[in-house]
This record gives sequence, structure tokens and C-alpha cells, in this order.
Amino acid sequence: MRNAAFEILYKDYYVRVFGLCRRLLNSSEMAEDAAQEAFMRAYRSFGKYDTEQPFWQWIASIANHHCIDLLRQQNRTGALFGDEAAELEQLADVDAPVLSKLISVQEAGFLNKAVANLSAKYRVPLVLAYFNQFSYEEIAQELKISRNHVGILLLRAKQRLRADLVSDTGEARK
Amino acid sequence: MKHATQLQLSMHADVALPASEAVVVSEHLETCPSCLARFAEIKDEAGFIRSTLQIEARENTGEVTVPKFSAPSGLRGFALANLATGLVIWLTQFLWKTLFGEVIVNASTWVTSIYLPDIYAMSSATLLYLLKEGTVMFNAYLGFVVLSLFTATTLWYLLMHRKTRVTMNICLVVFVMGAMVFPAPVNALEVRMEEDVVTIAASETVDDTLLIAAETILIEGVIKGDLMVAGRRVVISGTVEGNLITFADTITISGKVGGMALGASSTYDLRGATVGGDLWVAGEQIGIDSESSVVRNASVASRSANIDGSVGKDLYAFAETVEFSGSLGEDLEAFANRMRLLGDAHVAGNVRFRTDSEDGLHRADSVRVDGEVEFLDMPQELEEGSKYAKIKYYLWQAARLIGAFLVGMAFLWLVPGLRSMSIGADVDTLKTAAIGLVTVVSVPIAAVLVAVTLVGLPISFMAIAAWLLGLYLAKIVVGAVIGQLLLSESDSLPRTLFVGLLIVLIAVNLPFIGGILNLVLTIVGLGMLVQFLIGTLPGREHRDYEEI
Repeated sequence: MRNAAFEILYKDYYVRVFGLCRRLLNSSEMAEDAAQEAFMRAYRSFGKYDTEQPFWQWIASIANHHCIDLLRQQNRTGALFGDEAAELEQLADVDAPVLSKLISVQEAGFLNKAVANLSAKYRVPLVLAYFNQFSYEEIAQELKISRNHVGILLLRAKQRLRADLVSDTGEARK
Repeated sequence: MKHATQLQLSMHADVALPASEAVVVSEHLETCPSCLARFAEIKDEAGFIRSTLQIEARENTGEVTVPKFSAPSGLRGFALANLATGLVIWLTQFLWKTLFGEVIVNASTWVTSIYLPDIYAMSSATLLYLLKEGTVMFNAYLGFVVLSLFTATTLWYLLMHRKTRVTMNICLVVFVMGAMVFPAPVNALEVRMEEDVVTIAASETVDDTLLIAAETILIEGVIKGDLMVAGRRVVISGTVEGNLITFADTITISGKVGGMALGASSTYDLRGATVGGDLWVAGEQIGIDSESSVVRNASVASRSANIDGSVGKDLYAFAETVEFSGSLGEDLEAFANRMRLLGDAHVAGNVRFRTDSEDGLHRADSVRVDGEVEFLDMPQELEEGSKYAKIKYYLWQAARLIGAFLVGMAFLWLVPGLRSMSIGADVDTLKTAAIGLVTVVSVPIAAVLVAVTLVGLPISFMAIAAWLLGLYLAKIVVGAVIGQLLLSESDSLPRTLFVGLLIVLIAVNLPFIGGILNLVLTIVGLGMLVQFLIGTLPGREHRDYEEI
């Protein structure tokens, strides 16, 4: 029974989990493994799954956790998400136009390319917040940093995207 | 308050500011149109990112194929894999031993009783073929099976330990390379095959196990390992330090054999030979001259056996005529029509003569028998009298119950799907029984047909082993189901299994109907096993893979 139920959930959610992993890890191949692994872990602890909770939330938290672990393993030099004070200092003061002014929804490809170009430090919180719809609190917990740090990283991420798109779209539209 | 910072606006747009700070920012926004405009933009942007990321996800993941989910195997899978590996290794070893040892000897023993004129020519021809083609075939097969099972287990193990694909690939490459340099299991084996004559000259020493197939084989030198020969005429005057296995038309041994000597031929002669281990011979005529000695037991099966030499322990002779004039360390047991004890024969133990008439024994006056001379009827399987009256019977049944219980617990743990099996309603039961009956009948027939091709010999051995295992497990499965029917569902597995097995055991031991019940329960159980396997392995041929 457990198998059959899990099989259905797997079929329904695999693509989403895979998408999440690919965004976090920035690699289709790694994402495939990570998604498999996430489901493996979910399968093992399926007994503990609280059916009140949406399955997506549960599996997504497992996938996030695993992906962030992988990223931490890759990045052996120091803290993956940098230092809060240092990040704060690096915030750009200039008021760049926001993304929604730069491109339209039809040009989503530009934004996605830019997101993929972000380093893990900025990409992960961005994906968690806007793709995964996590609250700052949850992200802070997941990444083991302060809530303010999350805010700074997200702002930095958006600033980078804006800067990237200003030059990108500028070139493309020439 | 001065203007809100970018950070404040960004966090406020995501509703992430601490409550106290949020109030301050909200108040400021009401009074500051420029901040408010920026805030609206940022909020807009957040929504924009959200929806854009989702769109991309849908577009790109459209091409993602969902790989098949394989449930993690865990300890159970690992145990199963090891069990399978062990089983196959055991089977191949068993096969090797059986093929070249017991089966051929036993078959010749059996055949001598029927007496087919050309059996030795036939069997040596078969053996020549087997040795020429079979060894290579068998080695390749053995290597392949062991290697692939080992690979499977390794993969399983790696999967279990959550290694990523990259690590797994590396491990695989390392493993394959290792397997390539790893010595083949039978490398200390030398094979010589000639059409006419193979001679190991007196000056020659062979360090390995030697396999020879030829028309005429002359061994004058020293073989350090085992010697296996098949041919028309075999003469061994040298030394074999290991075991000697011979199949030929005529075999003459006048040298030394360190281990066991096993052979079948129409004439098998020991002339001044020494056998360090047991002697197993089947043939038309067997002769052991007065200069020869066998250190351990000798078993001979033939039309006529003429034993003049010495045997260190027991002598078993199955023959039409046995002539004994040598010396014997222990008992002589003869199954024969006629037995002649001649000359200065000496038996240190008893003589047991199984025969139809006591007139068959001729005993010269000079013969010494230290023990008794007994006449027995040809062996009869069962003694009369009620088996229920003996305590041994109950002990044996108790041992069977415990054995079945332990096996059943292990089996149901390994294959948990079987726990939820049920016999089903009337028509289903009939269907199950029919499947069981077909399996009971068809597997041995199929195995024999496959075995005839020689190439299929290993498969048929496996099929038979699986079939036997299936017969044993069948009653355990039935017991488990019966236990579940009688006790409530929630009862623990050991209790239901034990109760079920107890009932099955009592049923099959009932007088008169026990045999029929036994058959019926076995058939139903086997049918259930097969159905279960068909269910789990869709579209797979099931008979040869009963349990694995």
C-alpha cells in the first residue's frame, strides 16, 4: 500500500522537485540525482509524514535540505552564504530600475539566464523565496543564517539581476 | 523619519520586516510618495520574479522524463542480493562437484545394474565432449555469473549508501578493472587434448590440476594436483598427489594416488597401486591385485569384483559376483548374488552379506573373519510397526516444525509481499491449485529436456534447485495463510505462522489422508508462490526463478 501511494506522489511531484533541484544546483545532471535522493529519503521516512501537511511542502523541504548540503560540500572554503556585515556593505546604492520595468513576462528567458548566472550564495535564497515561496524565517532556518542576512542576500540577488539585465537587454535590443 | 532603505523596502515587500520596524516603514510610506512609488515597484518586481520563475519551470520541465522510482533496498534488499549471490555460487560449486563427481559415478553404478553394452564407450564419448567444450563453457559461465552477481551486489550496496551517480560510475570502473586483472577461478588447470596419445613422461612433473582427454593416456610422471582423464585406454604408472578421476574403457593403475580415486570403466585394474584416500569405482570388471592397497574405504560396483589387495577400512561391494582374498581393516558389506572369500582373506571387522539366498556365499577354510558373518535381506526402506508409537518420530516432527518456522520467518521477512497473500474464494483456489500442479509436473520435465542439451545443464540444475526449494516453501506459505485465517489480522507474524505451520504439520501426518493433504497443500502453496511471482515479475518467465 505504502508503495502504491508513494508511487503516485512520486509521479505527480517528480517534475516539480526536479525543477527545484535544478534551480538550486544549477545543473540538470546533479538535479536528477538530487531529486532521486530526495524521494529516496522521503520514502524512507514516509511513515513519519504528517498527512495534514501538503506533500509539496514536505518533499520540497527534503529536497532543499539535500541540495544545500550538496552545495556546502562543493564549497569547502568558508561559509556558503558569506558574512552579513560584509554583504551589507556591498549593497549597491544606485536606484536601478526594477526587473519588471526591464523585461516583460514574455522575456522570461532573460531572467532565467540571469538567475542561472548568479552564484549559489544569491541563487539559493532567491529560489527558496520566490520559486519555493518560503518565508524569510524558513529560509533563515534552512540556511542557518539570520533573517536580516536573508533580506540582504535577496536584495543583493535582485540588484545583480537588475544590473545583469540592464546590460543584457541593452545589448539584445540594440 | 528619513527615507526607507532599499533593504527595508525589499523586506517589507516580502512581508519580512519585524513587526515594530514594519509599522515605522508603513507610516513613512504614507507620507513619502517617492518611497511609496519605489515600494510599489519592488513589490511588483517580487511578484514578477515569482511568476517568471514558475513559467520557466513549466516550460523546461516539460521535456523531463520521470525516471522509474526504485524503492531503496535497505537491509532486506542487501540480504536478498547476498542470498542470491550465495545461492548461485553454491549452485555452481555443487554443479561442478556433482557433474564430475557423484552424478556420473552414481549413474554408472545404476547403469551397471541394468547393463548396457556400450555404456562406457558412450560415457567416455560424452565426457570427451564435455571436457572439450564443457570446461570452457563452464568457466565462462561461472565467471560471468559470479561477476555479474558481484556487480549487482556492489551496485546495490552503493545505492544503499546514497552515493551519487558519479561515485557509482567510478566504483564501477574500478570494479570492472579489478575483475579483469583478478585471476580466473580455475587458472591452476591445465587441459591437454589430443586425438591419439597423451603421455606424461616419467621425467615430467605437472604442478597444476591436469585435465586430459584423448584416445590413449599414459601417465608415467608426477601430477601434483588432481588428475582428471577421459579416454579409451588409461594407464597410470606414475604418481598423482591429488585426486584421480578417470573415465575410460580400460583403466590400469600401477602407480600412487595421494587422494581419492574415482572412476568408471569397463575394466578397472589396480596392479601394485596405492590409493591414499577412498576408492570409488564402477565398471564391468574390477580387479585389485595383491600388491595394491587402498588406505581408506573402497566402494566398488560392477558385474564382477576381484579384490586381492588390502583395504584400510570398509569395503562395499555391489556386484553380481564378489571374490575377496585380500585383507580388510574393517567391515565388508556386499550386495551380491555370489560372494567368494578365498585364500588367506582376512576381515578384521564383520562381514555383512546382503543377498537373496545364503547359498551364494562360498568361504574357504583358511579365511579369517574376526567379527561376525551376517546374512541380511536386501535393504528394505521401512520397518513395520506404527511410526506414531516412537518418540523419535515426535522429536523429528518437532525439529521439522522449528525448522519450518525459522525458515518461514526469514522468508516472510525477505519477501514481505507474501504476508498479505490469501487463498481466495473457491474458483481462485482451484486456479491456484492448477498452477501449482502444472509447476510441480512441468519444471522437472522442462529441466530434463534442457539438461539433454548439455549447454542447458546449469540452468536445469538451478531450475531443479529452485523447484525443490519451492516445494519446501510451499507448505510454509500455506501455513502462514492458514494462521492468518484462523487468528485475527492484528496478531503478530510469529504467532500466526507458528499456529499455521502446526496445523499443516499435523494435517500432513494424519494417518491415511496425510499423504493426500500433503500433496494438496504443497500444490496450493506452490501455486500461490508462482502467482505471487507472476504478480511481481510481470511478463517474466517464472518457472526457473521460483524464489530469487
